[in-house]
Amino acid sequence: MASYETGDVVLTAVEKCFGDSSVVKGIDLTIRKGEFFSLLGPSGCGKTTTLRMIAGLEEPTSGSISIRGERMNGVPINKRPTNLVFQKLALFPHLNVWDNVAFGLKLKRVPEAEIRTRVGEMLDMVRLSGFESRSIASLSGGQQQRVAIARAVVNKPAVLLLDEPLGALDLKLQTHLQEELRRIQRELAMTFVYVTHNQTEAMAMSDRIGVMNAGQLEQVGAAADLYLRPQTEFVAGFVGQTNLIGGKVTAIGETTISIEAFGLTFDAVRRSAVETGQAVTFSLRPEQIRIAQAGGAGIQLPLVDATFFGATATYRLQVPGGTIVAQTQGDLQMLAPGQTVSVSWPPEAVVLLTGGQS
Amino acid sequence: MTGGKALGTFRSFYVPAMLVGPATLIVLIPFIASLVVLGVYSVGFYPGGAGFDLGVWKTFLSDSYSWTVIFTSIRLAVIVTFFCLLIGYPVACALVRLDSMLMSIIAYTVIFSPLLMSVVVRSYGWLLLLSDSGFLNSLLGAWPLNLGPYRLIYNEIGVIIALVHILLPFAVLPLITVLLQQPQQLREAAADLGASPFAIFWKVTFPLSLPGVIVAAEIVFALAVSAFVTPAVLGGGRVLNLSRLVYENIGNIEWGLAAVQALILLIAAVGVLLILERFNRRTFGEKS
Amino acid sequence: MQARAGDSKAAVLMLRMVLGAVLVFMAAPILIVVANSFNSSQFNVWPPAGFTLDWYHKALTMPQFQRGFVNSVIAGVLSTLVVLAVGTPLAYAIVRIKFRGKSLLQGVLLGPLVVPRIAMGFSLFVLYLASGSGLYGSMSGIVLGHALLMLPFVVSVLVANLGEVDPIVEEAARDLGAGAVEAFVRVVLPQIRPGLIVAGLLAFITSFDEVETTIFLVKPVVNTLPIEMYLYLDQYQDPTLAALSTLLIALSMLLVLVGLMFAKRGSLRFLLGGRGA
Ligand SMILES: Nc1ncnc2c1ncn2[C@@H]1O[C@H](COP(=O)(O)OP(=O)(O)OP(=O)(O)O)[C@@H](O)[C@H]1O
Ligand SMILES: [Mg+2]
Repeated sequence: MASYETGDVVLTAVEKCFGDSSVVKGIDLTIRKGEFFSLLGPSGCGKTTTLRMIAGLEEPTSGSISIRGERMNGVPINKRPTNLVFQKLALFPHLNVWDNVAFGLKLKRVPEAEIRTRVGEMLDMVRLSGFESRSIASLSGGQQQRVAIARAVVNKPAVLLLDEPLGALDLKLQTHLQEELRRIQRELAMTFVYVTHNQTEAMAMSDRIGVMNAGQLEQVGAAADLYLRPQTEFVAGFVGQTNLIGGKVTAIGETTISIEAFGLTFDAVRRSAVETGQAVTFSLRPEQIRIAQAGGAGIQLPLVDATFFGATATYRLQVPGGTIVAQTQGDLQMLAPGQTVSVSWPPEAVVLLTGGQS
Repeated sequence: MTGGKALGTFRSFYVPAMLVGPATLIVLIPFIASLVVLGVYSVGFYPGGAGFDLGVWKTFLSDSYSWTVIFTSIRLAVIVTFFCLLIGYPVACALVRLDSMLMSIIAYTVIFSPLLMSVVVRSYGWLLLLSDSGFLNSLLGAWPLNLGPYRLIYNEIGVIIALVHILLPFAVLPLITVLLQQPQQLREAAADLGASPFAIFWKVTFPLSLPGVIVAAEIVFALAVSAFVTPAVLGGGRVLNLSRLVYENIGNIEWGLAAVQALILLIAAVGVLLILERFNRRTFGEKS
Repeated sequence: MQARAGDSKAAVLMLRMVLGAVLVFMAAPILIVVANSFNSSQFNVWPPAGFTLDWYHKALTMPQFQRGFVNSVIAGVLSTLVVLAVGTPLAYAIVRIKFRGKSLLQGVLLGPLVVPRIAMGFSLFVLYLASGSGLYGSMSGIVLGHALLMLPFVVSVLVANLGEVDPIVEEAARDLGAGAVEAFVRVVLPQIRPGLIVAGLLAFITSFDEVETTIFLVKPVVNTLPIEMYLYLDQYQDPTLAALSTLLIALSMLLVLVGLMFAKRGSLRFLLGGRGA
């Protein structure tokens, strides 16, 4: 648990109910100052609701939110040091591009000359120079989305909240704006809370990621942490592809433990306290499984099918009572379904899912 | 309890009160108060009145003259409503079929701009058209017809003609609205299934437009039953309806009687509206 | 005429003829008023005995019409301002906020639409007298009465307009630092401007033409123009009224023209039922 001194945005036991339905179910989260923090989760898991509570557009049903050590509950939206890039954009249809972006600065009575330079720079950054006097309705979806980003970023708030801001953009623009947002965030030392359901985007941009599921925060950590050391089935499955396998602990060694599943034995690095006989679930990433021609090192398994994706290939392997998926890269071995192959993996690849939060 | 937007902490009471308060204070409360006062006056509580007394109601309702006036008001309103619908329906059908912008502007302007002109002006125009030496009679009386002159004012004919003119726009507007809302595909589908134009109209277009017909009838009836200026100008004091009686009785300082008549007028208007609304709901369910 | 699916030629032709006849019917009394304003016959004899502009001179110089016009403009402007000022927040509350008694409020709001104008006028007259407020025969009394008559129209126009404004843009404005009122003024008001203009015009026209209710609320000093015209018509029928009416018709035609000019290009499309010209 980080303390108020290092935490820029701190959520303590935050819950939100709409009528009878509980949408956010007790979130504890500390977002550090100057951090690029992403909230990642499937559609409907409560990301937008969480963000709206930080922005002040919703009051938490219980729990508290503080920003820079100041309790925010009851503080009106317009008095919070945050700005939000709305998922639904919420551009002002009666104002042109320039006036949309200048809206916040004008409200703060920033001098006219400064408004001019800042708005100009901002439009430049989102590649909308020359669109200043266009009406919102005449813009494409992606252009509108960039106006929405510019309108919030131009205010340089202490905490910028972004709700899936790059959804409607093509890949090239997405990459460009990802870089730009990252640059702005570093230069201005702003705290970003970035909501997305796109794990690649979250991993590419974030210092840390919080994975949400059904109103709860499953795990918080850096991209590599989440990928290599997922703690819950959900995280393992949502962040990248994986084989989720249920088994039983059969032996506990000095540095490793052995787990039996499908009648096979999987060795894992010993990281947490387990007991012999305990039922466990572990994750085994497909790309960490090595495959070789039959007769090589490892166990021998029949191949169910093979799919080639060009740079990579995916294999499904028959195990008693199920299949596991493996993925290889580079040179394609001519493996045909029905054939038996040698399969092996390093013990680090077997990650026990202990379920709790750090 | 105010939904999700935390726009302020006092929202649940103070915000609605502040928004609704001014209108309530200066408009809605006087409105309700005036109706209450009307009721109170009608039972004898007014300056110079004798205190609680249902006598005025009794006298008025047992006088056959009163019933003549009530029936005149309702008869006029029913006739005017009938003609407004009879004329308004084909006009609305024609309007939604216009496809030249210029024609549309002309037609809509001619039909709806009279709404911008005072009822006094429009009634006066009909007086000029229909009087004994007016435009219509001079047209009919000239060669080769040599007809008339006909008595068209100071009787119900003139009042009805002028009221139809004045209220027609109120009938056409809701009719256009329902006709425009009808999906074109419905008629196309019916035609595709082999329905004749006649069958399409009676089986598809007309039944679907009935809610608009009822709204039109409600508006026109409510305005016609309480019309005052037009019956006064074109009836020349010879067409007596409830509005006219109320006006005259106030002039004669018969306040109790005026209150009773105003209330009966109110009851007639609201009563017919309720009947039409009920019919509307029964026939068209939740749709309207 | 654009034939629609399932139209027969004969039926379309008949519709056309009905429309033509009704256009003549609608225009006739107005045209005759204009024509008669130049009729030198004092008794509106037709065909006109000769051409004259005397009636215009008379209409423009009669003190009761001058005073009536001024009163009507004052009453129209003031009551429009009042009804917009109280009606806009009311419409906003109806569209955006849940509160107790809302459906009751909406029911009461329909009242002035249903109550016959004459009954409304008499009961307001009685209320003004009974309350000892001095409203009877005063400009404030007229303004209040007109605001009452117009509130249902104004609120229903504004409710329809506000329904089109996405509440999220208000949140965006708040997020960017605007207070509740500021967000409304900067973001909502500009978006409902067409509704405010329509409601305002409707209110002004209603007030400017009102006779049935107003006639109970006035004393001669505050008589409005339509009341003066009605009273004049009750006694005289010379073409003075035609001249005055022609001037008013010209004024309202001017309003229509201005409206057509200010209507955004393409916004008249609705006249064609959404079809292209
Ligand atoms: N105002 C509201 N009233 C009732 N339910 C709501 C409201 N807002 C959100 N919800 C519900 O709360 C849940 C979470 O919604 P939220 O918008 O936070 O999801 P999300 O994670 O942002 O999803 P997405 O990725 O699709 O945007 C959903 O089931 C949604 O239906
Ligand atoms: Mg969302």
